[in-house]
Amino acid sequence: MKKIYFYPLPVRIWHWLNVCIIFILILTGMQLRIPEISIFSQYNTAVFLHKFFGFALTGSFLFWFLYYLLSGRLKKYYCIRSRDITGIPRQAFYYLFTIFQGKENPHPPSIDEKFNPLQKWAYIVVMFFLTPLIIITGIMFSDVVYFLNYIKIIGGLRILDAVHVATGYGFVIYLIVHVYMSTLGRKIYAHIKTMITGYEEDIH
Amino acid sequence: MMVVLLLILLLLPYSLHGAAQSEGCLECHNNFQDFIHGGIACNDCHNDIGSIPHNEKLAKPSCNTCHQNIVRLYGGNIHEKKKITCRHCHNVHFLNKDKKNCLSCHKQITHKSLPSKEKHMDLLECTACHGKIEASSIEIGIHIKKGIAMKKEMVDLDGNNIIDSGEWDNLQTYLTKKLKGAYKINKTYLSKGNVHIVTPKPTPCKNCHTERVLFNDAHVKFSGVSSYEIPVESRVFIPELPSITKYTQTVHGKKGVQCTDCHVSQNHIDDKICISCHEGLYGIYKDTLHSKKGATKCTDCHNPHSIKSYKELDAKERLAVCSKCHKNYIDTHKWLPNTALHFKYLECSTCHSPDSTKSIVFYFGIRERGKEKILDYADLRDISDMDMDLVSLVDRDKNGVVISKELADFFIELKNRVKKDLFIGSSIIVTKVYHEYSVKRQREKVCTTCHSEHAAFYDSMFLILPEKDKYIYIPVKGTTLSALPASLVIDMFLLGEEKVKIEDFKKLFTAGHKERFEHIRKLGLKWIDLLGILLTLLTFLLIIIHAMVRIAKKR
Repeated sequence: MKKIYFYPLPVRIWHWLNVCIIFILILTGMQLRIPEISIFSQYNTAVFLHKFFGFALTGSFLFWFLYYLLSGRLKKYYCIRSRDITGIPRQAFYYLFTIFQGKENPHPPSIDEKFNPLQKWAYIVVMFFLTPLIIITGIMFSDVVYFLNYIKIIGGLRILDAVHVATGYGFVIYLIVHVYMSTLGRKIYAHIKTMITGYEEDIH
Repeated sequence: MMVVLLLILLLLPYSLHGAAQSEGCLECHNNFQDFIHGGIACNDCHNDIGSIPHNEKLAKPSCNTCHQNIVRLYGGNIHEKKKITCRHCHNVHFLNKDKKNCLSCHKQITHKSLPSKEKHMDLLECTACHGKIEASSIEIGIHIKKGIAMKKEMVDLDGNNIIDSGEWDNLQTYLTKKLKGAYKINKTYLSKGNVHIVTPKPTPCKNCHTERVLFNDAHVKFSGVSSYEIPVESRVFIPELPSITKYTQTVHGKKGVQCTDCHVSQNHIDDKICISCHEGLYGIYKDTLHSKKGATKCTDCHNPHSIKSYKELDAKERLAVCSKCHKNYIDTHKWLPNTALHFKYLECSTCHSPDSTKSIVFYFGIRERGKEKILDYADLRDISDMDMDLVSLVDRDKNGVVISKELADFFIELKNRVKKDLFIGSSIIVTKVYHEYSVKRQREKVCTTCHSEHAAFYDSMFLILPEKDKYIYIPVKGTTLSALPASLVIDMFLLGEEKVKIEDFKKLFTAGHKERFEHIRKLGLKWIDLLGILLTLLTFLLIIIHAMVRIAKKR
């Protein structure tokens, strides 16, 4: 079993910072959506925090995008290969059945191919679709009067809200799966440990 | 002069003839020697005298025999109703004696409520306001004794053959500076009416001050060194009162409150005037902190000439009332998230008068070249040949309440006709004002007063429809904000709106086929939460199952 330096420090910092940001965004978002869920005693505190951490998410996303683009990781890890399509059934079959039989992951992470096909598609959806969408709609929400003309183009505040919230639900569902998946390593904490230390011990 | 002489000559023989016929009477009634009544003889009126000596009791002569027209005009007038006969004003035997005028009886007239009382009473005859005027004019005579001749082009500077205010001012300056003491001006307001037709209610101010039905014909007549006549704009002498035009469209104007009901003197209106009608409202306001320390007078906030009633003011106009004094309102509301947005859609009393009734109102508007316009009655009439009973067009089941579907159906129909970017605009406004603005504001920093499905305005929604000269508020009920398809065209969204409830889930499964479809439509954009929550729960469930299998398999 090899031990490889898998996640450089900037990525790890970005990841855990994102954890905090998204955690607070979900909590505040829940209160904004349903005021009866009184997580923060003042509604305007929730509004302020949601806005503040929304901008933080924008910053962290831009950092991730530029870091990955300039370091070549974007092309390396997110380039879709034929394997990413043909490998989907095998990967799904593994998660649904063979994992219980103790069989190996059909697409184990390697230094050249960090994500398995399903994982890659999930990340593509989150990083190139959900995140930009929630950021753009969120920025529009941050100053409705300033962006009013743009908001009207997309059909008004109600549509803006619908898109933002639907994306938010997408994020929540993704996160539940993401957190659970992180326990599917050789040991329950293996993946989490990797994201802290940067070293992947699962490499063959 | 010639005409008068001619008349005297013509009437003389007739008068002498009358006198000659009356000679017999005057032998006894010698105190009537000098009687004068247009040259008629005694028996022209006392026509029941057959021979002399005549009966002691004679019938009362009737003026109507000769003066039919005047008697007819006089009939039904206030004076006639008060049983004031011809003889009360006219000495029928000596017409030129004891001449009476209005003041002979109306000695105590005060005209307390007449603005610029002295001016009006000095310049005008009583009948100018209290009579039926057939012709009226303002005649200004300027007599220049000596000095420079006032040529027409020196007076009518723009050569349009009428003197406007600027030219009049110029003329005044010229006269006072260049022709000191060498000129004389007199101004007369002539009104030709009939004293036999008197109206106790005066002619409205607008007749002279805006519509200019009266005294619109004004002339300057130069005499002396220069001699010519030129018209003057009547507004030079009778000031324009622009508020009168707008006033008729205000609630006060529509309800028939006359200028003089409030303008009882030339002083500014004080609260006593307002209280005479709005006593209850003042009772609430007078003890509040706002009244004691801020706007102490009604007119500090309210302009009685304002063109719209409170219900018709939009949020911006209402904000303008408060921001007259509270100029730094943006700074003091920095704590409020989306400050500008709140002030775009809300008025101050939404939060600062908690006991006021707040409502959501909807209206139809169009967007053209980036600008929004609320459709008024004329717009709707122009749009189509649509029957203009809008209320029944919107409220199809005629139950007095508009539901989401009715609103959407009417919108679609209207949109097909307008062929423009039609939208349903909306805002939260105070529909019933409670005049207490001094409530501790801290309490109102609770956002969930509005940002919650329990916000009071959800129970008070109205569709505003324009009528010819008013707006009708039709109650709107149901989940209008989120239901489809109305929710897609209503330009309003509030954080904390009504969300899906357990009952909504249950109803999806328990409702009948038809009812279920209606329920699905009503849920509208609540479907986002419904699906979101369902999918989240499903994900949890699958993960729990997955985890349990892992535990069972010790993986």
